[in-house]
Amino acid sequence: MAVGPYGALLESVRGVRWPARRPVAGGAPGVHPARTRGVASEFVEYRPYRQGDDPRRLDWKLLARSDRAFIRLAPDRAVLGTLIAVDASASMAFPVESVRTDGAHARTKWRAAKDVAVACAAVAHAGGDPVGLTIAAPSGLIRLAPRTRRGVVAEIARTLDAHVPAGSASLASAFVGAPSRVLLVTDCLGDLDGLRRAARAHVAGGGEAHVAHVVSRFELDPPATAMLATDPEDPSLARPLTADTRGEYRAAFDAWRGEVARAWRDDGVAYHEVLDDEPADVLVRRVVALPGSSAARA
Amino acid sequence: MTFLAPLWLAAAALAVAGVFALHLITTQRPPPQLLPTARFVPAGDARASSRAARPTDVLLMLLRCAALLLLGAAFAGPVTHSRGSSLARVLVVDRSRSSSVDIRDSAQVLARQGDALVLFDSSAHTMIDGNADSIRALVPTLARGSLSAGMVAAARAARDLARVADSVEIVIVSPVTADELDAASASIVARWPGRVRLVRVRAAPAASVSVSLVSDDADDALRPAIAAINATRPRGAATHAVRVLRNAPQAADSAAAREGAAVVFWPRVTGANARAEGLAARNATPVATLVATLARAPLSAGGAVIARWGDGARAAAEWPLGRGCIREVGAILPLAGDVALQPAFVSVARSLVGACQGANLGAPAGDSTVKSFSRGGAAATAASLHSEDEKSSLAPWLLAAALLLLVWELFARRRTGEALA
Repeated sequence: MAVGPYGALLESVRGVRWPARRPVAGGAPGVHPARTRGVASEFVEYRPYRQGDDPRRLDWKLLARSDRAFIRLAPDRAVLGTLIAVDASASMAFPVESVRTDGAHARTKWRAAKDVAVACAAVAHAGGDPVGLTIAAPSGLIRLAPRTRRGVVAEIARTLDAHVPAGSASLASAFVGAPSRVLLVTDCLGDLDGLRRAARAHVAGGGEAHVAHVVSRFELDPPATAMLATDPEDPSLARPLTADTRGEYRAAFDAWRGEVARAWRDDGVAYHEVLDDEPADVLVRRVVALPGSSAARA
Repeated sequence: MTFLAPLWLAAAALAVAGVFALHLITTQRPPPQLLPTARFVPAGDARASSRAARPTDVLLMLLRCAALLLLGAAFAGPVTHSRGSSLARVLVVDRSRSSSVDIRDSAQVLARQGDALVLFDSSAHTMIDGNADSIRALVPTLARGSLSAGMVAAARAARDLARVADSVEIVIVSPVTADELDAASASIVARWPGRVRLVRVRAAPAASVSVSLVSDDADDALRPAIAAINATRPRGAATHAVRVLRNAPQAADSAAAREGAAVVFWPRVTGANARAEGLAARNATPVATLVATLARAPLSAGGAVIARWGDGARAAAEWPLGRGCIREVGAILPLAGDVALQPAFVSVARSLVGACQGANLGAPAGDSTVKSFSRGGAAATAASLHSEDEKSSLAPWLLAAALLLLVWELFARRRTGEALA
């Protein structure tokens, strides 16, 4: 599998599993607990035999002892289709080269988003789940349908690498025809309300949604030098960020991030804040962990 | 190089510091930079103040600082002098009638090459070169001395010396008699900003007059007294000619008065109504008094009182005329008697036939007065001696250079503005 610069990252997440947060709908056999009952050897319960049931599933020993026909039920496991939806708006290209001054801040939000997307795709694919990709670009959505075939992760990586963040586009339409699990990798600076509406509908339909909120360290702590802060997606929005306004900016940004996290969680979406300078494998483990697990608390 | 108003330099330095600070705290549009979270920055004027680690617009700042420094230097008034010596002296020598011939020796001892020499009596004469010859020919004059005139001339000479010296000292060589001082003397000396050394020399012998009696009477009663006065004249002292007339003054007498003589009209009256009178010569030191049988003669109005009768009436008065004076004496001696032979009369007559207004000639000034003219401390610095009307030849050039820089700054500012736009 040609995964280019992601080799070390994929190696570091080998063995990581991405369990479903709730029983999945039945389907092709997979690793996620399904809402249906299957015929596996693992016993769960009995159910009285009904006409039409497969006679091979009768518990013949029980029938012999009690003269009652019962069917042995076992937990079913199914695959969970996963869509990685990546925000490729211009704001994801931050910080630009002129701002990055040292190695600690060498990654852009787009780079962090790509790492999270590829690594999560690899983790899902390793669990046997079909994995697809959607990139929200100004020209429209770039889609890779969920597949389980080999090489899909490399294809996802190549697609992401071939794209350059620009303009602004909404990720909300990524939910149309999406599989059960959707991972949104975005900085939440676009059409947040529309995205939340689509996510709420998806969750209400039994789906599972995750948000990896990508935040740059420079956005948290901008340079001390005065600047005319200009929104890359709206050049008309330019405001002076000086020593006097820096405190107000940080307070407003912190408050907004808290509000966004609360709103996503209220919508039933698993929210994860992703800093662009954090190691990607740590981010991925946090994203795929079940709530309450040690990885989720990390 | 010295500055006439060095405070302007300090003001210019402060202004330069202000310009530097303003270039660090710029109120211009900060450089635009992409920030996706710009929406969380409080809205405000895009032209925000910002503090830079390095001054902005270095060329403009340098032009402004240079212009300010040049303006400060121009207003400070730089004066360039080539200093020949560190300390110059002004020798103020008293050649008035108060000085004895010893003044020449003292001046010769004190004088040195490069000193300015001020010789004063009633007026002052300043000499920069040829001091040795001037001192060698120094002889006390008959004029009354004026220390004020000497100090004024000395201060003027000191300012000239300050162009070539770092500091200037004044040395006064004078007996400092009371008649040389006036109300302005103390204040003139007090205005001198440095050290004043007073070398006090011996004063000339007092009241040295040569009295001649013009009388057609060989037995004139005044002859013995005048002879006694002339007999006591000290040798070597400057003499003042005094002509005593028994008859009304003539044109020749007036001419003599104009040339400096004291013409005393002391009439001889026969048949005068004499009686016992008290007579006091007011200008004598101490006051000479006489009680004798005398007659009164009327005096012309006005004039300076020389003697008074016991009841306060004027007994003698004096009017200046040219360099000398005309004096009238209203005390009539009896034709018979020995009044003129009495020592008291000789004392009174010494004042009545003295030099013009010369009663205090040679009287030394008090020690406290003399002390006030001698001041210690450092010599006056050249900077403190620059006169208010002194001009700086460099100031116009500095002003022109500052204006050129300001014009350049104007163009540089426009260019910078266009570049920013």
